[in-house]
This record gives sequence, structure tokens and C-alpha cells, in this order.
Amino acid sequence: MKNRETEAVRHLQPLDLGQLEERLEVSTLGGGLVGQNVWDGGLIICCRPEKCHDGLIPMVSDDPAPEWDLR
Amino acid sequence: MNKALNNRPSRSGTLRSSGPDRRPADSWDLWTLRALWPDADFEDLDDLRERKIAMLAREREALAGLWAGDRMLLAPGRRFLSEHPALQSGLVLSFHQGPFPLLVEPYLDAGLDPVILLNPSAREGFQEKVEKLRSILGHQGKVRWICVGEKGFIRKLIKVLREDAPVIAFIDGNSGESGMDGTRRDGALYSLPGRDIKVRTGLARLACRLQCPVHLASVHWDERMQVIWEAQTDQTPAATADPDEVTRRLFDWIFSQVMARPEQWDFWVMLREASACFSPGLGVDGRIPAGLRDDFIHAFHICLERSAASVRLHLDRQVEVWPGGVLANLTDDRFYPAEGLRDQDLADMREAPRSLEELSEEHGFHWVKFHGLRLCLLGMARLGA
Repeated sequence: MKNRETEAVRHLQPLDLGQLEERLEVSTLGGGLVGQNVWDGGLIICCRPEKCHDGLIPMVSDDPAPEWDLR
Repeated sequence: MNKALNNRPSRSGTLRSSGPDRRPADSWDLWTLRALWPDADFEDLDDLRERKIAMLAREREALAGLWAGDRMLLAPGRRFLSEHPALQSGLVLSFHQGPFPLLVEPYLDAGLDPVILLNPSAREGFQEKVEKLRSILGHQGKVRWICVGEKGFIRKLIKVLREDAPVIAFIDGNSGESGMDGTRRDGALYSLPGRDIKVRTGLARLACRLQCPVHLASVHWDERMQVIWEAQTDQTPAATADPDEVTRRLFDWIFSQVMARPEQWDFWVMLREASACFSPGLGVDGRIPAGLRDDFIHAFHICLERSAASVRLHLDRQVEVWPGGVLANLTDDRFYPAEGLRDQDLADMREAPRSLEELSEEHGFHWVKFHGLRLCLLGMARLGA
């Protein structure tokens, strides 16, 4: 029989932010309430291609406007 | 919840953030929202999402005219800048609200060659595109770039500030050298209504040291989708001011606006990534100290073997199991793998403490030995009468 006490002690490690987001299936781009600030007409102004780690400025793109992702 | 969010009356009591029809990310979003509104529930979250979607659709419509050549949308900013000449030099701090990209446009239009302070990886992707925007709008001026962390960036920053150039930064980015890891590790503590976050203090330190003009500027959409500019100019801190306190005042200003117009804020991700609960070294408190663990395990074992009928497991924290297998201690903002524990397993315990015997009958002896003990060791439950 497994030693449940020992097993319980082995499972005390908290999740870090990355592990948590992986489990919660937070999308890289549109995670959560953030959505995407999409500016149409051939211009997309969005500051968070990488979850906005570095998002300090507006940007413009001629990529087609993506669907909203407000998950 | 605060009426400002959805015009619904406040509710009290424990609010569950999981449910059978919810996606894992929904729990995370609600947790994020509760940083500002601790009593928020899923209805509030859905309401905010709907408002945000509506806002984005209206924004798309409003901007279509701009891209088609109608420059009326730009007029308020150009007028505002001319009426507030103080904004034409010094540190102009803003945040990601509504039509925030338009903040730069009046500077270009006025030929002021604004400086944008950002992180190097952001510049890689953005510079070409910003130049394209400038070209489309027909501006002859240029945007100058200063990247945090690059060799000599402080010297460059000081130089342009001393030349009275406008330096624009979006401070709710809340990042810099070492990214958000550095923010969580070294930032100053900032208390929101529902949670503590860490905030960068570098710009405040710089402003204190240089005594350069500091301005707060923001843009948002009004109900007619006109761009509204607001500013607090000449907020220069004293040379002796505490940069942490200066930073807190800056974020007070930001969050007062976010809470007034949450559907227009585009940087919610900052709230969770800057959460103090993810700071290094904060992930272990609330647990049984290692030195007492063996004694505690032994005591738990004895209770389970000999006093299961009279000893009860008390949930000491607001505990939930979220979709995605996350055991969440929402009282202390600690997260662990659920290891098979289900939210419905906790349902009865939330109502009243259950004896170890009752739990064993319902879930099995080994379940109690593992999950009961684990909840105790994680500081979420205790044994009692």
C-alpha cells in the first residue's frame, strides 16, 4: 500500500505562474479580459504580441484583423 | 460589487469562481477581475466582456473613418496638446486605455519628434509598423526610440529629457529589465481593493533624480466615440520624494480611471502577472513548517485511525478547485495542482465541517489520508472538534 502521508507531502509544491496559465488554458494572445485592441482598416494597433510583457507603445500592422478572442 | 462596474447591487457572501459550464480561463479571468472588485462574480465578468466586445466593435467603426481619410478623430488630441503646452516636454505617462495609440499622434502632427520609452523586444516588432502609421498619416516628424536595458539607455533618456523632448511611456506595462519576473521580484508593493501587486519604480526614481516635468495624460472614448483627452500636468515629484510613494500615486491615477471605464482598459494581464502572490519566496507561507510536518502528519494519522468519528476537517480558507485541475486558496492567493480533488468534494465541507469518518465513508479512507492531510499541510484546512 502506498504511503499516503509521504505522497501528500510530495505534492505541496505550488504552481508558478506559467504552470497555472498552462492549466487554465490562457491563450498567449487574447488571455482573459484583455482581448485585443484591434484597429481596423489595414491597421492593427496592439501592444501585446507576447501577452504584453513589453507592451508600452502602439503598433500598426497591415495584417488582417483577427477575430476577437475574449476568452 | 461596485456599481461602477455593472450597475448591479453589491452581493455578499462567498462567491464561487468555478462551475460546470465554465472554461478554465474563466476562473482565471474572474480572479483577475477581483483584484479591483473583490466581490465580482461570473455575471459581472460576463457583463464586462459584453461591454468590452461592444466597445471594440464601436471602436472599429470609429476608426474606419480615420483610415478612410477622415482626420476628425485626431482633432481633439491636436487641440488638447496645443492648449496644454506643458505636455510638449518632459515625461508623459499614460496607460493602455481606449484609443491610447492616438496619444502619440498629436506629437507627430506638431513635429515634436516624440521619444517612446519601451523594452527592446517590443521595438523589434513595432518600429517598422509605427513608421508605417506615421507614413499613412503623412507626418514628417519622426519617433525616437529608447529601449529599457540597452547599453546607455539611461544616458539617452536623460539627454532627451534635458533637451525638453516629450518622452512617452505607458506605465501600466509595468515591466522593464528582467521583464515581469523583475517586477514581481523587485517592485514596490501596491494595494488594490482585492489584491496586492508589484509595480515598477524606475520612472519615479528617474523623475525624482532629474526633476524633469512629469505629466499624466490619458485618452478614452466617450459615449459618442469621440476621443477625450485628460491630463494632469506638472506632477514633478520633489527631489526628496520617495519613489515608491510617487509610483503609488501614479498607479492611483491609473486605477481610478480603469475602475471608471473597465471596458476600455487593455492591460488586464498586468494585474495577474504583477500579482505579489507570485513573487519569489511567497509561495510557501501558510503551510505547516517543515520542522512540524512530521509531528502533524503523525497527529493526523492518529486522529484518522482512532478518533475519526469525533474529529472534523474544517476548511480554514476559501478553497476552490477550478477547471483545469487547480486547487485555489483564494484567501491567500495560493495555487496548487488539484491532484484529483474535485470542487464538488469540497461542497459539503463548505457548509459545515465533516468528520473524518464521514469523509472516509463518502470518499474512502485513502482519499482522506491524502487530500485531507494535504489540505491541512497546505494551510487550507485544520482538524478540530
